[in-house]
Amino acid sequence: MERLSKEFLEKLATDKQLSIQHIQARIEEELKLLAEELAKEATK
Amino acid sequence: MKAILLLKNIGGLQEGNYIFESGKLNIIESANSAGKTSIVKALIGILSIPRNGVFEQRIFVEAQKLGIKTDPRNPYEGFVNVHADQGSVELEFDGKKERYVVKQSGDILSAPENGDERFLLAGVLSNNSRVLRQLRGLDELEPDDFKWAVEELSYAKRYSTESELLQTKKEDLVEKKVLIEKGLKQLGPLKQREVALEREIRILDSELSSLTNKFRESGKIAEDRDDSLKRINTLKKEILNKTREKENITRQQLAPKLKEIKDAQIQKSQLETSLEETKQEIIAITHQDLRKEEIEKEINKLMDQRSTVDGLLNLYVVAETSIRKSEGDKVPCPLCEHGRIDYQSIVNNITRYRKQREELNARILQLSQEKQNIAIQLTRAENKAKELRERIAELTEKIWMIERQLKGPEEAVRAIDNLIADYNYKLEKEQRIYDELNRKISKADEEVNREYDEKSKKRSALLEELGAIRRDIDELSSVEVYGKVLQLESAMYVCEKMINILEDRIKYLERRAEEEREEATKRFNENISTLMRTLGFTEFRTIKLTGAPSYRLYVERYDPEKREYKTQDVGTLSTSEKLAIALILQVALKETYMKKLPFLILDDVLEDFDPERCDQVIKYLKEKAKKEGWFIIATKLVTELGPPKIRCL
Repeated sequence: MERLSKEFLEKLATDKQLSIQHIQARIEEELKLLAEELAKEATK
Repeated sequence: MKAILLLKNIGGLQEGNYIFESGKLNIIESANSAGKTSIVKALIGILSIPRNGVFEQRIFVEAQKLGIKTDPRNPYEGFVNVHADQGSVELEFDGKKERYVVKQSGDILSAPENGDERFLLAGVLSNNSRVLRQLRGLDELEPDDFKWAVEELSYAKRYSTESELLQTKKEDLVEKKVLIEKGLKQLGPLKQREVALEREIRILDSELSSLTNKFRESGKIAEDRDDSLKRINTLKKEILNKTREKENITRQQLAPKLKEIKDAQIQKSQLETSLEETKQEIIAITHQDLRKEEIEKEINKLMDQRSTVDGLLNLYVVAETSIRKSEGDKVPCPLCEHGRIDYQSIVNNITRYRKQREELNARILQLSQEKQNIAIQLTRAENKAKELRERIAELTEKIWMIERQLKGPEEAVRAIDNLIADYNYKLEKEQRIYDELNRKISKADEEVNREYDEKSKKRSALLEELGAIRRDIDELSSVEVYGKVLQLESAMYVCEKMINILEDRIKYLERRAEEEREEATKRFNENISTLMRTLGFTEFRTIKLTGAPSYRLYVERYDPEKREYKTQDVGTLSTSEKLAIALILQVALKETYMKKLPFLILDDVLEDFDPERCDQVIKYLKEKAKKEGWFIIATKLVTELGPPKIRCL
């Protein structure tokens, strides 16, 4: 699954139950996972 | 469809149960301060409080203005009744039941499931709502600045927020990338310096090792010195032992014998003195021999005299006997024989001679005793002298014996003394060796130490520098990217990739925000045009928002004199016109952004329209409610006292 995908960002923006803090936390988490995947790529 | 509202301790009402109908205009009627606004507050509260109970800051201000968050400066206008600890609202419609319980302090005990804070901006028109405040110039924003509507009510703001968030992250990564680049540039020289330092330290280590060998050489001398010291100590110990041994011999063997000799010598000396005295005494007694001879001569003489006296005495005794036999008066003188002597004269002579004889005897006896005494004294003295000589001889023998006994220990002591003297000689010699070795060591150590210290210091400094460089290298060699420590090259790869992705997403989100704004503006303008036509706002040809980036509200008003439409500043409209435009805007906002939530609330608004326009508005609201199935709820002031009543039109 693509990390920090446009669909993911769309979903965050349009889910009115999510507060800005929630969005922030989810993006942080996603960036972490993205960094991990890229780090694996880099060390291959 | 009906909506049932139950409230307890909200605003001025302690309790209430109200039913609203969908598809109708529900008018809450009551006199002043009878509870209209409390019902409205309860509705706004339960429809807008978010699930987590927390408003975003910009919305919180609106909540305070509309009275659903208590302003601490005015608790009597607060959401919860000022006399109660907590208030509660329940709303049941469309098969759903929402519940909101809040304490006087503002702490929420139970929040509704589907509250939407945007309702405060889009679903309520009152004298305190955002739209009317702004149009009347009572807000911080300019009356025509409606960017907030497209930003906050559409998803544009959320897209923008995400975009800003990603922008911040991108900037962080760009900053990190710069650091990585800098690190990569710094790393080369640092590594070169590290190699150079390692080489220098190796050289120093080798030099220090040589110096350590020199230490070992001086260490050999030190060993000799230590051996010398050991020998010195051994000698001292030997001397001590021998001295003790000598002391033991002296104390246990020599001293008693010497004392014995001394005692014997004293005794002998005393005896010799006594002997000398005795000899003197003998000499003195011997000198008395002359006296003895004299005594003998005198005794002989006295005995002669006594013989003479005895003769005479015999003569006179015979004479006396003769007289007595003759009984004559006189007899011939016995001495001369030719004379005559009478008795009395005879008796007198006898007495006289007897007396002489006694005196002579006494004297002879006295002299004999004297002579005998001299002999006794001599004998005694000679005996004593003899005895003394014997004792002296004994003591001499004894002293000789002791002296013979002393020879062994004395020889032992002499041997020990010789040994000690020998040890002392060796000790002095060894001490000189020790001093010399010590001097050599001090001199050698001083030089080597100085050099060793210098090199050690240099080595420490280099090690310190090497440590710092290695720390720098360590610090520069890896970098943390989102909690993962990576080598610079990997980190660079990750950063570049992430920056690219973030740039792409930022662009996408910005585009989406813009699309959303445009779409929202378009929908808003479409809705407002429809409303204008429906409500018969013929004096205005246009009320709409401009596009990005300002989103200003502008109106085009018909000028009957010039017979043309011209743009007018919203702030210059009349109060009645502002209210009319506010209603149009509010319904348009609701229509555009919150169409699915079937509530629209108008509080203290209808009375402000002129009667003709009010009728038009009511008619429109009824039709709108019916068409959309909304609950449109409005308040109306009446003179009739009593609890609020709901009238459905």
